[in-house]
Amino acid sequence: MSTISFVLNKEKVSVDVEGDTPLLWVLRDELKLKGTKFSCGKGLCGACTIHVDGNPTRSCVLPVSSVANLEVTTLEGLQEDKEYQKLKDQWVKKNVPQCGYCQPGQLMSATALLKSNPKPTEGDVKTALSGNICRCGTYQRIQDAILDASKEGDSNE
Amino acid sequence: MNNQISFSRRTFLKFSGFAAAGFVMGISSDLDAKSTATSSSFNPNLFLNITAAGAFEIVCHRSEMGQGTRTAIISLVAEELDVSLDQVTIVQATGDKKYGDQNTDGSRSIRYNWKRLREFGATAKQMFIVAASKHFSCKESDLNCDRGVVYYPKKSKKIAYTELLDEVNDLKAPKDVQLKDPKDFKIIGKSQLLKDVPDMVTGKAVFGMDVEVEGMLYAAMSRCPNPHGVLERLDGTKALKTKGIRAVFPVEAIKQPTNTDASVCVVGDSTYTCFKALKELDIEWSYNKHDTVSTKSFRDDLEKALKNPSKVYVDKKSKTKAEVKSSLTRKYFTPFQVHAPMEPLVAVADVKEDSCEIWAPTQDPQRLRKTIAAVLKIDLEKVIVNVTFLGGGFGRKSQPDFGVEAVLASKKVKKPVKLVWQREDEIRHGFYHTSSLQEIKADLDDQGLPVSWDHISVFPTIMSVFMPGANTPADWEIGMGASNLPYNIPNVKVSTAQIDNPLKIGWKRAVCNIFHSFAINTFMDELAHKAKTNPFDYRLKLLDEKQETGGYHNSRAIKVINRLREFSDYDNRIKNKKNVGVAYHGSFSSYVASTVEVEGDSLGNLQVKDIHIVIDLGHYVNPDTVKSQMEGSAIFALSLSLYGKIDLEKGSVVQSNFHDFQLVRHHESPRVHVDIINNQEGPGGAGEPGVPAVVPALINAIYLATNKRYTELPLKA
Ligand code: FES
Ligand code: FES
Repeated sequence: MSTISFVLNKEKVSVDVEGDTPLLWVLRDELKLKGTKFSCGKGLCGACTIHVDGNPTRSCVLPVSSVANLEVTTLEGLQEDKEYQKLKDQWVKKNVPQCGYCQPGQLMSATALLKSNPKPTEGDVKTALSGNICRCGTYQRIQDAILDASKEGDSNE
Repeated sequence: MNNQISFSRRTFLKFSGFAAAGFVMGISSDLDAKSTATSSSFNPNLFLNITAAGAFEIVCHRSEMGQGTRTAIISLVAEELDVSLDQVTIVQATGDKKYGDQNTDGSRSIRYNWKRLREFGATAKQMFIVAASKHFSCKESDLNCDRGVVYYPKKSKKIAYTELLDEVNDLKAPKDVQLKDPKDFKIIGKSQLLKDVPDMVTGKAVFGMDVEVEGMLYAAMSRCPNPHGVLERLDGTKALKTKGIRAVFPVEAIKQPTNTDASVCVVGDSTYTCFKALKELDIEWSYNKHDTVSTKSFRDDLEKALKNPSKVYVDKKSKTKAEVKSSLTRKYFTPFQVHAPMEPLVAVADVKEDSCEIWAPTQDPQRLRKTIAAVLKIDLEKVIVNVTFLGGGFGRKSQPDFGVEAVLASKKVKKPVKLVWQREDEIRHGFYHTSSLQEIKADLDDQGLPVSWDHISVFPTIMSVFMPGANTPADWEIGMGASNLPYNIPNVKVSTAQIDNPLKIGWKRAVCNIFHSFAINTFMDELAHKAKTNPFDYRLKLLDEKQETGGYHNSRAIKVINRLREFSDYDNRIKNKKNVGVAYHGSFSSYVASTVEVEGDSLGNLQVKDIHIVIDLGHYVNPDTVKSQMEGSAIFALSLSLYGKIDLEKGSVVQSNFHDFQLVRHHESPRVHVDIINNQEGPGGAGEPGVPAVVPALINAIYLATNKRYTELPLKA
């Protein structure tokens, strides 16, 4: 057991847990942030995607000790984020989610994509999100939502 | 921290809508429902409550697992009540028989509630009209309603429903109210934004996995890999020493119809602590008598059974004897499949001395309630089943096993317990989509049309999870595509044979329709090619417009098939040498035809391009939901066609996670185009009927691309 500190959604947090505990479970069970989802636990599906220093990362296979002093962002921490808001609006407008369970992870990957590549092609989108499984099969709507969100900036900026 | 979803029991109820001011409608008479009735709230029936504060609360008694049922169910009431969806608060029902059937499977939510729920809305609206006509001293026919307001246009007057609550409470509910003419629908039949999406995109939606109750502990289980096994030896000392672990104990298997496996449960302070402790368990299972089953041995059993048909479902014989010019016989195999919803199984249970409350992503809260009452030997009334959002279900979450496990864990440690399944548990301890072997033999006349059709379909039956020893498919299983063959063939025989289930068998989205449609549609395609007729024309030749089989009218099938040909621009694409496969299948009272286009010349470089789906489901509530269900069904069909299979070794499941039970991903997903037929027929299902036609349409496209006929799934085994 040790105290591990990191920046979570722009606030400094410290947790007392075993260092090998995956960040996912620290977020969910200790810090009670439920927007990050558990599905495969092996880095295979993307449901648990969060940002570490801005990079999309699978939190289910990421020992909490490895984020010490780094910046972690979860879906809860993106609420004021510009790219996320554009995406979220498209998600709502297009009725993207079915069951909804994979969608936080999809949105985390999509937000990271738009931050690094504001004008992605359809191919870019498919590649960037290929690690995020949606069993309900909402892929087409997700891809359309990201592409439309990326175009939205055109008129606004 | 903001947006924390650490809720106490009280706030959970708020999520369910219970705690709203003036709430009177007993979502569950067991809860604190008797509490806060005020004279001016209006609760005309089980599904509707209008609070003194002006909130329109409508109950959804079906489970939301991605099929959009919560928005659709409330739409039925809201339409006839004449309130708009943005005025409505959805109240999720607990499991209680007073709501009528709550088992959310079989694509039945709208079919079963289409009239009934509209009547609830219409009755309440009629009461507001009566009250308003008294208020304005006018005739009822002078009034009309919109968005919760009664209008009196002649005098330019209006009054809100909420201002009439005292008056309507004095009225008796009218009988035999008039329902709207569909042409006057404002909500039904129009695309609507789904009410739950805003919470789903912010992470606020509460899935089973997200439930927390005060003082809760966590649990996980190590289950016997073989469904027939028992615990031989357990040493939990090391596991117990894991920091944060409170208890380690064995749990015995419960037989049909509960169907839990023998297991060892660890309870501790967090989910991950429990996962860690599981690895420290020293367990020996014994299942010697059942360790011989393998994928290969089961296949041999299927082959043997196929040679011994034992039950005939259809035996239609023509008096006239046609001349047989040729014949075709083909055998089709499909493997076991698992559901793999993105949310693994999970439940939070709180067992007290003589009562129990549970929060679970269950498709069937009434069955779970009954099962828990039986397991705990307590009154049904003492069991409260709260239904959360389901992170996917596909049939798996209609089983009560995972809820019962949580209950047993809570009972043991005398505290609320959240039991979490890992993905490996979900893949290895499922209720599997059954594995099938089929043979179709047709004798053909001089035009290549079948004069006889002999279909044998062999598979372990779902009935085996209810009755030990059940080894022959039920009529309804064969009725999913095989015995209700729509084609007009003079001699038809449909039969099956006995076979034992090596695994637990369950419903999975579209059920037996999948393999029956696969066999029949690929066989039809082969016949069409043999007859040098295009597969649309070939099917149409065999569809007698006046014929009806098992409730399916060929006239509707024909319209769907013709519409698909146009909608998919089939003839042009074939002319341009595109590989476009075709299939048609009716199921769940809906009619679906699909084309799939592929590129590539082998399975290795295969790419699925465009999928077109035309569906006739009669009346529908939210066309955008129907479309998204078709899109999702197409992806579901691709996953099972390309990758999906569950293998057996020593009687246990081999696969364990998404690396060996693969699902289609973003980069493999095609465009899916959907068209919905408009008519005034009764509503059909939307969640499942999209799957069966896509599978053979894909196989038929691959034939065009590769010149190979695939008769076994999955393709990329
Ligand atoms: S839960 Fe982390 S990748 Fe699947
Ligand atoms: S919406 Fe259900 S898994 Fe993606």
